[in-house]
Amino acid sequence: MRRSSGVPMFEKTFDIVIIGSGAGGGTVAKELAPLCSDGIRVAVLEWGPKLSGDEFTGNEVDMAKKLFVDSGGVLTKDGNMTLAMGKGYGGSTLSYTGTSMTVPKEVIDRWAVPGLTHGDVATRAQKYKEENNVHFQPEELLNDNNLLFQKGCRTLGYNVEQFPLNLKGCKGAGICNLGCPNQAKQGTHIVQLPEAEKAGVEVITNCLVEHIGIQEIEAVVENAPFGEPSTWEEGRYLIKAKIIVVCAGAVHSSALLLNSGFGDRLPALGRYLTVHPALILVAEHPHAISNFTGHPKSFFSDHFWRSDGFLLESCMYYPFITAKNMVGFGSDHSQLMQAFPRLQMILVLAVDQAEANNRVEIDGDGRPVVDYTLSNVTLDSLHMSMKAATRIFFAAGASRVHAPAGKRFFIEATQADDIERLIPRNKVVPGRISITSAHLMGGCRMGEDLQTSVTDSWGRVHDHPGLFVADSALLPRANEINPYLTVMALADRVAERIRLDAGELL
Amino acid sequence: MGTGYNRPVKNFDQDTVKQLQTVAAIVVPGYADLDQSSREQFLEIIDDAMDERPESMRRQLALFLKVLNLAPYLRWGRPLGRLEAVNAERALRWFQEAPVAKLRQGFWGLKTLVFMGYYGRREVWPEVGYAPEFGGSDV
Repeated sequence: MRRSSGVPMFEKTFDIVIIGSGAGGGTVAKELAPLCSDGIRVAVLEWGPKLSGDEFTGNEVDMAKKLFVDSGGVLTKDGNMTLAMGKGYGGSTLSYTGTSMTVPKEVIDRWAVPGLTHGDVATRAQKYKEENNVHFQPEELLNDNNLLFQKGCRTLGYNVEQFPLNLKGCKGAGICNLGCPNQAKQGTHIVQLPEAEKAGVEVITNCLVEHIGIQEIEAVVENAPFGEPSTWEEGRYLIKAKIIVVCAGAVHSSALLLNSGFGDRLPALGRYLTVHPALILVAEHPHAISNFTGHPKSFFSDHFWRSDGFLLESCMYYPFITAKNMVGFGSDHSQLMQAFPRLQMILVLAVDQAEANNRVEIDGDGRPVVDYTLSNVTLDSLHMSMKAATRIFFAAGASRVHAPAGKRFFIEATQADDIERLIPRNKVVPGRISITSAHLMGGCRMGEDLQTSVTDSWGRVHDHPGLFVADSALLPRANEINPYLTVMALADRVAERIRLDAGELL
Repeated sequence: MGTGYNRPVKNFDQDTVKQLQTVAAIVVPGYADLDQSSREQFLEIIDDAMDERPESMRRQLALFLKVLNLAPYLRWGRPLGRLEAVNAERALRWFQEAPVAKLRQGFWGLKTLVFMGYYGRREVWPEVGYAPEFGGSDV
């Protein structure tokens, strides 16, 4: 995002323009694609490029550059948390693990958005479960890293469930978060966008939208040094559209609208951002386990969801990500890295509260700045989660555990009874431990009150006919579980509204 | 004295590169055993990562490295690069646990860059036993 500057070199005209091609934008594109047969012109503008199959190299540094804004190294304003925001043809669906969960009813009830019911969201989510081939992987395909998580939870009596996944032809490459080299995840780049294009939707990649005006968009096409070049010539564009659907992700959707001046009449714009603050915990087993081969995320535990505000998920990461998520350095750290084939990993997701002060702002150049403060409640959750994960590791047979807030680098299995003392709360210090945003949500939250919301329950921006939001920015509070299916369900709902309103707006 | 790197470095001067090397050898002991080519890869990864960052962040990193290098004078009367291994670790650990958030964050950021340079190299995979098969079950 940049402050708009310069005179457009080219002009284009569409009826509907969708900004972003991830879970939100890809869904809207597919749902509106049938309108193309009536002569309605629909375009998707995507900031990132379309990658070809051989560009999914599995190399962490290389793929971070290709799939994430600023290589996934964007920091919050206070410097205490990193933010991963996907871009490219398919958006964040390129780099998720494909976990396909229907949001629980009590979460939708907590959102309390007038007109939005759990039944409606669940029905739409079911549609995308079918469309995206969501299913449970058979047990013979689950690796030790996942099964040990299940075993540890069961031993301790913690509730544990299998993730439904949106895979087709998964070969267990194990690098979902770096983009599947076998194109097995059924993201929008595989399912919805190709279908939309087939029906006549034009997808323009390497196209960064800088400003939205009344029925017009200013954008710049500039090819990335990787991926396919854009179908449009490089340069500045003025794009006319009667309907504009913003789906650039929670941070960039909010920033784009702020940069375009919508914040003056919408005081909630950019606010109530939630991020599911996440930690990675690592344990070493006495013998090799299958871990980096096979799907990395098969199980989750919601045992502490209601009581302590966190979820635990099996996971597996790669050398650099693993190294950076441990607290410490030197010989202990290197020893644990050398034990890679014996490592088990658990991801913690904290359920953070929606607070007005946690917000997206823009800097003097129009770029987003995320002002987010980790609350004591969230830090308490992260502390509890480390202790719970450590217990799971030991119950699964780990010989030693690295807890980021541990008094020592390793907690040995012989010390398993002393976890309370060895993982003190006062070591859960921002800036000391690596905390990452797992899922960015909010900033253009749904609701009725102009003071506390940005859109209605159909994604219509208050008092701006023809302007919609249809992505994770809509969530008024955290989704409390991996959210992509919720985002698709809400985008489906927005698309329905656009179809209903089309006669009036077009 | 040169840095020993053959390729041009875009974002750091020679002093900063030397300070980075000093910190790298403490953060990842294996760094000291890297050959010339691997050290160049290490630096190239970090240098490229800094390309994406604003100039102000590059300046902050250079300044923080200077502070890290000189701070041990206060306790041991010599810079980081001339400390015994055990004291060098102690010095960095102080920054990791520092009461001031900016110092903790600065060390976290620097350590992350070192890990990126070291563990972001494909050549490190055999060393740590990471042997993914991207063709998965086809292989």
